[in-house]
Amino acid sequence: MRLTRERQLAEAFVEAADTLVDDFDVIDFLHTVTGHCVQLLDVDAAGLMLADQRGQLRATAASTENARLLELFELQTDAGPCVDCFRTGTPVVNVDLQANEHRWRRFAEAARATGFIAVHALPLRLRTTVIGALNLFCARPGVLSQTDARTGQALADVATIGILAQRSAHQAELLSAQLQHALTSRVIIEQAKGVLAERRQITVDQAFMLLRDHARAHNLPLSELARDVAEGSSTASELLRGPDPTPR
Amino acid sequence: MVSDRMSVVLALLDGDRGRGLNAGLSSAAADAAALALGIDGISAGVGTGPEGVVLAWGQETIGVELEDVQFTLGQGPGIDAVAAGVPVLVPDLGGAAARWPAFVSACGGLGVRAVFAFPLRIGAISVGGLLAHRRSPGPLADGELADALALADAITLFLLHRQSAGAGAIADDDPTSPRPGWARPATYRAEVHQATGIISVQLEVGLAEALVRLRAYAYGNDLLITEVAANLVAGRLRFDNRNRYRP
Repeated sequence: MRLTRERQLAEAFVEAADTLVDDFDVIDFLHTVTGHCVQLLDVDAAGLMLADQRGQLRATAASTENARLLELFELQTDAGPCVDCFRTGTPVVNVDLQANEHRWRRFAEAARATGFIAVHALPLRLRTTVIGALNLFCARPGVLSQTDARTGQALADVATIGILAQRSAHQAELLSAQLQHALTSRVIIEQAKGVLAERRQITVDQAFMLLRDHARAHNLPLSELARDVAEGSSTASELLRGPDPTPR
Repeated sequence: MVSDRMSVVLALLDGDRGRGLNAGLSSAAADAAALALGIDGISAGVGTGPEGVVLAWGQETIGVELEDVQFTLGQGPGIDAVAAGVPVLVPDLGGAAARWPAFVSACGGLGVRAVFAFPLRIGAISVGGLLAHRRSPGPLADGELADALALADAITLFLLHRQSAGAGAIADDDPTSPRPGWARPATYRAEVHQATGIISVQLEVGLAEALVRLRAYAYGNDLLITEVAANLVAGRLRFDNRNRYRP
């Protein structure tokens, strides 16, 4: 058990090293990191929020691309554990949602309605700058152990490295350009989810799964495929049409 | 966090809306924007392809020259910003001669020492670029950078609206055309982008027009854009080409 966990952690770091290759896809990578969080830590869902230049947190990746989970992240643009973590640059761990309902009313109510009872937020830090937060949700009672908190922070750091190492840019524009790239990639994926959902008459959650599976099966960067889908490009026609063209 | 000064700029931008596509470029909003950003001039160009860029907002003087120089030389921060979809900030052109040799030397002739270029885009919707310049070197301060990005967002919506009006997709004096409000960052919600994709399929239009139609519908029906988007995503609302929408 111990060994598996260490191996998984090692794999997460190896994947971060892959961010230096050319066809690295930032959103796909961040999804993988959130997936690792659920596998490695005693949590049920994980998500990454990145701050745009207005200082507003925006949902960028989640362990399950589920509309209700994404909404929980978006509810935190104004108030919630991620905002507190982001503003202070310090971890917010083992927060009981019931006991803290007064702190973040809308968020706490929505999180509990989704079945979560505890929440954690860990900062994405680049030296003194905080660029976002890793959000962890628990459906069962219990505390995040110190080891888990450390592992979680290591995964948050892996995410930060991935975002910042993704492309060689010139120093002065580094941070804003790389954050902008990640945020724009995310928007393109949302637009593509809408196009694909409407074309195939499926939900947006199913559309994301389809996008991701297709990208993996054809070894395509997720963001590139999403762009082709969003723009209705001919390279995405097979995916947009579906396997057996059924009349609408 | 948008500064108070930039909030004033965005309000002025709303005042530019009644003017047609060819109403001229210089505006109070552009002058105020330059002041708020601590720069000497700013302009927005529409167009992302090899056919070049048409100046669509801002101050004509140096802006036209900078666009011309980049187009002629095929290089420059504006071109890179639009191509890569990320800001390209050059606080000191003196250190950028290796990257854009011809552009840097042309800037010397124009007395420009710093250039800040921002893409005008919302996901896969790419409108063009925003180019700011200064006669003295030095970076944008943190607050100024945030302001510039907020301005780029607002200009993107502003130009999208103008383009759609110009193409006849929506009428500029149509009561259902979007009320100014470029300053509100409501377009960041996931379902707004999903709904944009959905509308583009339902109406068989591009994403740019789909977003403008979504905003127009929300405004025309006095609804929040996020409400309309949620209804589209849930399948409770469909847009229809003949009557535009079917509640």
